[in-house]
Amino acid sequence: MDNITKSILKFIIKSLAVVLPVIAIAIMWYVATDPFKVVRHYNCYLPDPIETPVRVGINKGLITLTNFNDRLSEGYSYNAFIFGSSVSCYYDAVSWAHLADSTGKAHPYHFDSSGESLMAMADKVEYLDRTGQPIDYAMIVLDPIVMSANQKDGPSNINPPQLMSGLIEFLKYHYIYFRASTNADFFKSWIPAMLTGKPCNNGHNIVFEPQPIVYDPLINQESLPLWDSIISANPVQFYNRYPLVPSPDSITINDVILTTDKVEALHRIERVFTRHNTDYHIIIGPNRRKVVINPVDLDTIINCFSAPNRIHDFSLSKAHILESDTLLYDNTHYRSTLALWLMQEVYRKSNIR
Amino acid sequence: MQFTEISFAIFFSVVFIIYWLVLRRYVIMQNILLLASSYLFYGWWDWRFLGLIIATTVSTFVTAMGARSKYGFLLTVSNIVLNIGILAIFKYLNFFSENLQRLFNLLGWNLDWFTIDVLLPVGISFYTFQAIAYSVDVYRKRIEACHDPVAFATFIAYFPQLVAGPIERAAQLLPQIERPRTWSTEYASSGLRMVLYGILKKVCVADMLAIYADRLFLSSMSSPLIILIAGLLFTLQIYCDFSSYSEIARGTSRLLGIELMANFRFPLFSRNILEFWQRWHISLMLWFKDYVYIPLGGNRHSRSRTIINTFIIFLLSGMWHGASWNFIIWGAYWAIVYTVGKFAIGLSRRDDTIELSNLPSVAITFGVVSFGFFLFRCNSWHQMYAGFTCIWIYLLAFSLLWVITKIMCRTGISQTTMIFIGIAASVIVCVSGYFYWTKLLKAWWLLPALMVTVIEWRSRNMDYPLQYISKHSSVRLTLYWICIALIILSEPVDMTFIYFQF
Repeated sequence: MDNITKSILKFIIKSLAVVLPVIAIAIMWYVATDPFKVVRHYNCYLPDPIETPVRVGINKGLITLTNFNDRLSEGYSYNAFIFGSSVSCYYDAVSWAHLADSTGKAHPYHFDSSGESLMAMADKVEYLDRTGQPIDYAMIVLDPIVMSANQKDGPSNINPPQLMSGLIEFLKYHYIYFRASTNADFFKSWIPAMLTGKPCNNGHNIVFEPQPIVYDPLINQESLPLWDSIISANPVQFYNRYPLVPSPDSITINDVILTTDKVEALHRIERVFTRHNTDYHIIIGPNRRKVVINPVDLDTIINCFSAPNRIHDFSLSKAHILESDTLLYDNTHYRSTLALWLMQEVYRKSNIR
Repeated sequence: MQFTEISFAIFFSVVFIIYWLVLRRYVIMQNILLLASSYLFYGWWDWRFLGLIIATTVSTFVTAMGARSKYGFLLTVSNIVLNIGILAIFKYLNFFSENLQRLFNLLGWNLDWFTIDVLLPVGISFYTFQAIAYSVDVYRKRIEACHDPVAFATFIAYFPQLVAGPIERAAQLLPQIERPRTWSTEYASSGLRMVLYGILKKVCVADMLAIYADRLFLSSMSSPLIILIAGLLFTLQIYCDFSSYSEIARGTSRLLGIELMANFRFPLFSRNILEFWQRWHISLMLWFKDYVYIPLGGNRHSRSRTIINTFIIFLLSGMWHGASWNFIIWGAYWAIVYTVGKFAIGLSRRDDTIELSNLPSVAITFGVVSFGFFLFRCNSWHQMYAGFTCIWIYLLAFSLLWVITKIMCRTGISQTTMIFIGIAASVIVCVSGYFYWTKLLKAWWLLPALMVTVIEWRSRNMDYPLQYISKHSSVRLTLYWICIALIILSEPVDMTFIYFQF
């Protein structure tokens, strides 16, 4: 080895010796604190909001998959799945299972995730298929606004490791969480929360779970009983604290948003459902902003599944329903009462047919 | 693939290792590696526009080979027209078609069916200018035509400076590409230091300033104070953003044993507007001087002709930034200010060192520059109008600052006074911190901003920031660790470098 090569190698080693200690400290912090619960396995990802008021927002997809595998290993079995974004989180799985099969053969599980894109949904459906899970019943809950989402790589919506393949994806996953838990925007919220014991969303991004979610691990269901009781008892107080945008007078027809990769995702879902002979329904829910799915997109979904009676567009038929504040938790998420009513409509129409 | 992303760090590490450890003895292989890396780097942005950069390369290379023949003039002009044509189509066609539509609509003719939406290739303004400069230099016999296609293609597509400059001259860059590179640990260390500092300035200061500047420019601009602060913030943002890119580009290139020209020499410490244009975006202004101003006659003719030439340069400089009226008005603003400054007030360029006693003139120059950048950033005619009607607040604020700095310089600031001010400031910060510590946490980025300000001031008479730092390795190491820690702490705001859009 000549002197120049030695000199270059020495330079590389010295540079690494300068850079690595700081990075090592940051990695040790990330591994030791694991604020997003991605490094280690936990028995409980969403503790009770009263007992643990300071809860860092965990990737719902991670909770869904990890909890699912944990329940399977305990001997639980599932054959009925709700897919969707956080909008579908408040669909009561037990009520839905009863509607889908009144004999009690449907064992439901929420298989949804925050900001779920169609591609990520297809990944989850294929995961169930690949791991040999029966998909006898399925409900997909879509929203015209959330449907526009492309696959993102943020901490709240990146696909969990169970859906990943390869070292690069694994490293990318942990890099995203490493950056999320070591940047100043995170610390702006985290430090005050640790010192005061109260959640404090002080930065540009929301770090702590903003809602007092009560979690049922058996069916992976989230509910907001505290908010439900406040809305029932004193809606004015609730909506003063969490104001809603005004509902527009007229509907807006959304742009065509089903791109090639989204259509392909729908086909992937359809193929799995066909293989499993799944009894499924797809709900396109209403929203506060009265954004209606584009007829072209609706036709695309119908054509993908070749089953018009299984596609239920409430974004148009029930566009005005969310003018009522008390059916909403916030501008995007409607309450389980409306979700139940929509499901009942779906199965009433299905039974008539 | 931005310079501040982990993907670039991995990409460059691989290139660096192969470049020096495997291919060090083979210049041609090093150039092939650089060329392949440059095309990969550019294609990562948008592979569809690789064809354009290759077209520019081939056209310029071929026409330069015949530049000294009897058809030399024709070939050179053809290449210039081709490159300007490419620039015009991709950069200005949308602008002209929109304005043509508006004009026809005003006349009552509906041209709504005529719409063009052309994507702007990244870096097009930089590499086309670089190619044009080469063509002209060969034709004028300033340099010999390059006969090595790989070296030439590398010169055009060289990734450290491809997307946002500096606009290099062939006489400076091509010989470095053609000859063997020499490894120097000191040179490489200084390069790495430039990269580290550039990244710090970008992610911890420029991106944070951008958040606040963007918010202000999205607001109604109803208050003169908002107009003032918006201009200040954006000036600091664009300086930190663009200069950090140039420092990273230069540092990256040094790590490859190639020196790029300095594109910024602490322009915000300029003492007059002529000096500002000696220090800001140096490569672009030199390009306009050599290839437009001087061929138009420069200052060799009458004063009125010189003034016209000056106007042309600044208007073209404004238009170079983009196809938008705010850039043209920014160019016009500088044309007027520069002309008044040079010919009416009699300002002259300055090459002496910047001292504390120059603070008053630095303050005034900064005010002039800030207003210009306010216009540069405006989103609408309404904002520009608001800016012009509130120009008085810039005059007032910077006159006040001039008075304060003048008094400070006249009376002198003793060490005792500085210590007293420092203690008072610390007490205020501690007390506010105790009561408003959560809010104070939001302003964490002011610490790296202060650090950058101190570094820039201490480096103001150097070639680049941190050119000379302590000879004590412990001090250097501490500084590097602080920089790396701050970079890790930087907020993930995902801001592209501003000049990538040009």
